Amino acid sequence: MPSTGKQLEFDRQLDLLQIKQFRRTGDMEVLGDLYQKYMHLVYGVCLKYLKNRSDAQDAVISIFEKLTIDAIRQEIGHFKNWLFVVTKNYCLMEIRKRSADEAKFSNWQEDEKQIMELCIEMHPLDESAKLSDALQDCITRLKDEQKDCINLFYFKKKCYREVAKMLHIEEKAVKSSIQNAKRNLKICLERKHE
Amino acid sequence: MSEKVKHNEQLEGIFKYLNDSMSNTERYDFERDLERDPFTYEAFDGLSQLKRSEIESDLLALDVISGKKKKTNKALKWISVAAVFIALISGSFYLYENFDSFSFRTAKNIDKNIPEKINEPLAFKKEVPMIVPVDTTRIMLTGVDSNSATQQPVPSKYSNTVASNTLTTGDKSGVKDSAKKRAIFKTPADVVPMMAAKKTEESVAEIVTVTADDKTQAAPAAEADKLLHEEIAMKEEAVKRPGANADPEPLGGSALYKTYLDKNVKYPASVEKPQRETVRVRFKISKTGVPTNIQVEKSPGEAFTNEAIRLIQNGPRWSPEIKDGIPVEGEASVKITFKP
Repeated sequence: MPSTGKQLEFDRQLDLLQIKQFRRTGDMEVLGDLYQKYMHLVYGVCLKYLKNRSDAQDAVISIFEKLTIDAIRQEIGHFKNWLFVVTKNYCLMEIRKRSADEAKFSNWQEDEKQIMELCIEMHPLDESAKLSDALQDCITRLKDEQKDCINLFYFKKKCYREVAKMLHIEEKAVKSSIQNAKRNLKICLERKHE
Repeated sequence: MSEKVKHNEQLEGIFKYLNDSMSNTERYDFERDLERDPFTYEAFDGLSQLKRSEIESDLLALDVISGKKKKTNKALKWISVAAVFIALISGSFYLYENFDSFSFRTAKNIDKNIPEKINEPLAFKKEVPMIVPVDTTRIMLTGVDSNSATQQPVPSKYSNTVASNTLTTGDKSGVKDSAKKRAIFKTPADVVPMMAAKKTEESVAEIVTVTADDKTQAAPAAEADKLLHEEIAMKEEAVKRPGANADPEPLGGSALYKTYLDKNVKYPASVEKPQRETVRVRFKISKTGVPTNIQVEKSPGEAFTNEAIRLIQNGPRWSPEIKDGIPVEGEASVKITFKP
C-alpha cells in the first residue's frame, strides 16, 4: 500500500511530539523509541556505505549518541529526513576517514550535496500525479532507455522486474536508469525556471 | 533480552519483497514507495545485501542499546561486577602463590643453614646479646647490624615464624643466625608483598583487558560488545560536554536554511537586465541566536543588498556559537543567489 501524504504528515507530527517530549524530559527511552522506529533504515544506509555488518552496527550506535546531543541543539522540522541527512553524512565522514583516495573523496562530496537537496524536497515525479508541461517536455528529451523506464514505471505502473523483461535489460539497470532520469529531469527543470 | 524486534511493517515489506513473495502489483507499490523516499531507498540497498536472519539478529542486538537504556545499565553493572570479581580472585590467587613460595623458601633455608651456622666461630657470638628474643626486630638490629642490608623492621608476621624457629634451636648462635637469616630474608620479605601488590594491580588490569578482548572477539554480534562501545562513547561524551564547542548554525540545519533562502528570495523588480547574481552577507550571531550587524560584502546593487538583509533578518534563528559549553557571540556568512 503506497503511503499517502496524509499518513506521512501524521508520522511527521508524531515524531515531532516525541522530540518535544525528549527535550522537555531528557528521557533517553523516548528518543530510543523514536530512533528504534527508523533503526532498520539507519542500519541499512550504514550497511550500504560502510559495507560490513560490524561497522554498520557501530555506526548505528554512534549516530544515536550524536542524536542525543543534536536533537536538543538543532531545530528539527522533519525528523525522518533529518535523520537521513545525519546518517548519510556520518557514513560519508567515516568513509572519508578511512580512505586517502583523493579522487573518491571528490565524488563523495558531490554525492553529499546531491543528497542534501534530495531529502529536503520530493522529486516532482513522485510528488503529484499531475505532470507540469515543463516536466513532460523534459521527459521527451531524455535518452531512450531512461525515457522508456520512466514511462513504464511511472505511467504504466510496471515493477522493475517487468520493465527489465520488456526492455531486455537487468533489474539493476532499470533502477539506475530511473535514478539517472530523475536527476536529469531535475536539472532540466531547474534550467527552465531560470 | 529474549524479546523480539518490534513489529515493523516496513521491514516486513522489505523481507517480503526480498523473499520474492509479492505479486507484480505489490512489487510495484513497494518500489514506488522506495522511489518516493530516498532514505528507505538507500536503506534497502544496504539491507538487501544481508539475509533476513542476519538483519533480524543485528537489529535485535542494536535494539537493546538504543531502545532500552535501563537494561543497558543493568547489563553494564553486571559486567563490571563480574570484572571486579574476577580481578579479586586473580589478585588473591597471585598473593597466595607468592606467599607460598616465600614461606617455602624460608623453611628450606632455615633447614639448610642452621646446622652450618652452628659451627661458626665464637667470636661472632660475642656480638650477640644474651637476651632471649621476644622482639625479633631488635635482635636483628642489634645483632646483625653490620651485615644486614636494611635496618627496617621485618613485618611481624614473618619475624614471628623465624623467632619461633630460633627458640627451638635453643642456641645463641641459632638466635644470631636466625637474625642473620632475617637480614637475608628481609629483602624478599619486604619486596615480595610489594611485588605481590604490584602484580595484583597488573593482573587486575590484565584481566580487565582480557575480558574486554574476549567479549569483542568471541561474540561479534553480542550485546556485550555494543555495551562496551557504548560505555566508551558515554565516557567520551561526558568529557566532551562541559567544554563543548560549536559553530553557529541555522536552526534546522544549513540545508534547510538554503531552501529557505532559495524559496523566499525575491528578484528585485527594478533591475533592467535580470541575470543570475550572488550576494555575500556576513553577520554576527548573538548569544541568543539572532543574526545582527548584517554586512553585505559583495553585492551588485542596493536593491540586492536590501533584499539580502531582509532575508537574513526575517529568516530562521541560529544556534549560537558555543565555546566551552557557553554560548558566545559568533559570526556567520551566507551566499544568496538571485535567479531572475
